[in-house]
Amino acid sequence: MSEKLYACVISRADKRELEELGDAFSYRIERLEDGVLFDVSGLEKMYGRAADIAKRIREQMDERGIAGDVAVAANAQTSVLLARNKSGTNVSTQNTLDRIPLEGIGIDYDTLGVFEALGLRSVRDLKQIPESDLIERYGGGFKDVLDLIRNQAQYVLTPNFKENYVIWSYQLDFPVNDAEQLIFIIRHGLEKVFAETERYGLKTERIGMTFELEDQTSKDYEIKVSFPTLDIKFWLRVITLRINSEAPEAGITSIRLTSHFIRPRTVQKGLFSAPKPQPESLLLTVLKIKKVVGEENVGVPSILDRRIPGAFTLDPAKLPRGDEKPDGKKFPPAIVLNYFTPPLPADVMVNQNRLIYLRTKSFQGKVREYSGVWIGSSQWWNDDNWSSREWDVELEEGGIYRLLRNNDGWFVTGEYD
Amino acid sequence: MTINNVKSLSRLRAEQAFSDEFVEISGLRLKRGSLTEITGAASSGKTSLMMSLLGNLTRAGEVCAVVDVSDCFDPEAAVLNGVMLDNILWIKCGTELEKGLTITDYLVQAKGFGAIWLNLNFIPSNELRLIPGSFWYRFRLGVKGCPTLLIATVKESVLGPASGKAYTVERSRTVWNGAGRFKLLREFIVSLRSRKGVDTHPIFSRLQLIYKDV
Repeated sequence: MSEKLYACVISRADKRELEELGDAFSYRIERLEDGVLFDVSGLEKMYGRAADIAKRIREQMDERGIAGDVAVAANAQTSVLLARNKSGTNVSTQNTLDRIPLEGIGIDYDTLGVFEALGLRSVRDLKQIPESDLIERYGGGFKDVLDLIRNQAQYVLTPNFKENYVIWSYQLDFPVNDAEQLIFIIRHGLEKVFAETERYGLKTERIGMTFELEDQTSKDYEIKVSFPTLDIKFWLRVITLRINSEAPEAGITSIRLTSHFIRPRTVQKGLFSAPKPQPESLLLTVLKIKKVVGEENVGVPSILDRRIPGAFTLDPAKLPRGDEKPDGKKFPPAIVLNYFTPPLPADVMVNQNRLIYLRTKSFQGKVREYSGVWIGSSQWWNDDNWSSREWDVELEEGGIYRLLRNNDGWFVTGEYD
Repeated sequence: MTINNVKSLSRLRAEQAFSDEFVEISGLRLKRGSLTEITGAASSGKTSLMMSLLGNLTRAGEVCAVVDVSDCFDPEAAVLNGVMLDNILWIKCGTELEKGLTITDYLVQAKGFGAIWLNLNFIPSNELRLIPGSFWYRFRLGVKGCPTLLIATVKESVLGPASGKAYTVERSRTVWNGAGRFKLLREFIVSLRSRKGVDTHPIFSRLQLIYKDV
């Protein structure tokens, strides 16, 4: 049996990046508060001695832009101690820990004070004291400290980082061009990855697909939904819609599916809760509608914090949430302005500074009543500057409109309704 | 399950007291699971009533869809009517009627929307009359048995017998405040009249123009 070997990386980098670094070397990874510890036993055959493994880890860190300290040791605790107390790339030897100050090895504050008074400052100083004397004075618990400085600490690496994805890949015998065949194969793949996901008691909210194509290129798809589910029919519909809108340009020679999984959703359903569509149904409906009117024309309206006419937009990335706001506030019906998109060019008759007659291609009539002029302008500091003069105009035919005059002429921008 | 996830007894009572078969708005009782037509000439107030309805429904947590065939939806006015924009699915159809009808069909099939508003305000009546009656019957059957209110707003009636309920909105008075350059459009007094059923007495409602930023 080969000797055990552990690597520890202490870094302020993102936890996820550290886990991915560990994942590149080992499948047994423990996430620490300030870094990551992983088992590199057996890598000697691939990279050489412990120093070579440490060098390799450092190279990977540099490639990934991770700054930090690395230590490789035959004992897990020693590697952690070394990485935390010595900067750079370190490999444990018999006396590597000797220069480490006593503050760094977990001795309690009072005992440290006594050692300080006795002139003991580093691990080397402590090693000079007979072990039996120290245990006699500080109790059996102090043996843990002594084991640590002698590279004999008993520490069981506890993997607490698990992969959160399952991969299925398939090399096809001949290129597939037919959508029906492709969906059949994807369905098979989904069954496999979802069965694996279900074993963890988790659900999928994101699926990655990579197709290798006949023309030696590849096509990637990343499909994310707003809730986790393992409903194959639902996923197949979403995947079909996506492939239809972004079809691969050549026959597919291999397929790779990645199911990213998370905890299932928790929902409280009630007999009296407000009606809302099922999330699966809502998402599929929105995807179908987007195919008809375009991605940018379906979404949730939102108000812009800008002083411009029509300060609102449509957010195509959002879906309606169905949140309640039971604050009991009463809103009396307010008159709405129906915008004309684009504004209707208008001919206006003015007599003695009074509006007399309004004509557009859709309606015309004598002006019965009007209010204004309302002058507005903003953004004078940039190219988006605007200015307008507006009137609210009631015609004899009954309609009440907002009339605008700018540098381009007269326009009817909307109808009060 | 933690205690925080359980609804309080008072909340459940309030929910039970609320009739889930009808939705009331400005005196109108709109039946869920039915197709309703609201007609009204220019500036009659039909859009304001629809916004008010969306305000009531979205604040109760219902998800509503606006099929904006006329391309005229105003989110700022919606907020003034109490609409929670996060509960609105807004679909701009670019004044293409055919797309609007296809989308309405998808929404009806999805089930579960509190209301689907088919806004045909600016679509010419001669174009609307080309829609086969079977479309409207399909929608009517689609929402039957669902909590969805499917409402079409138009200038002139086009649904005919396909609509479960039909109302006409008329502006009976316009109130302007002030005089001269300081005149302000203030409010509409509108009357709502059912065109189907025995109750044909008009209901009067007051719509105010709110001058404030959202």
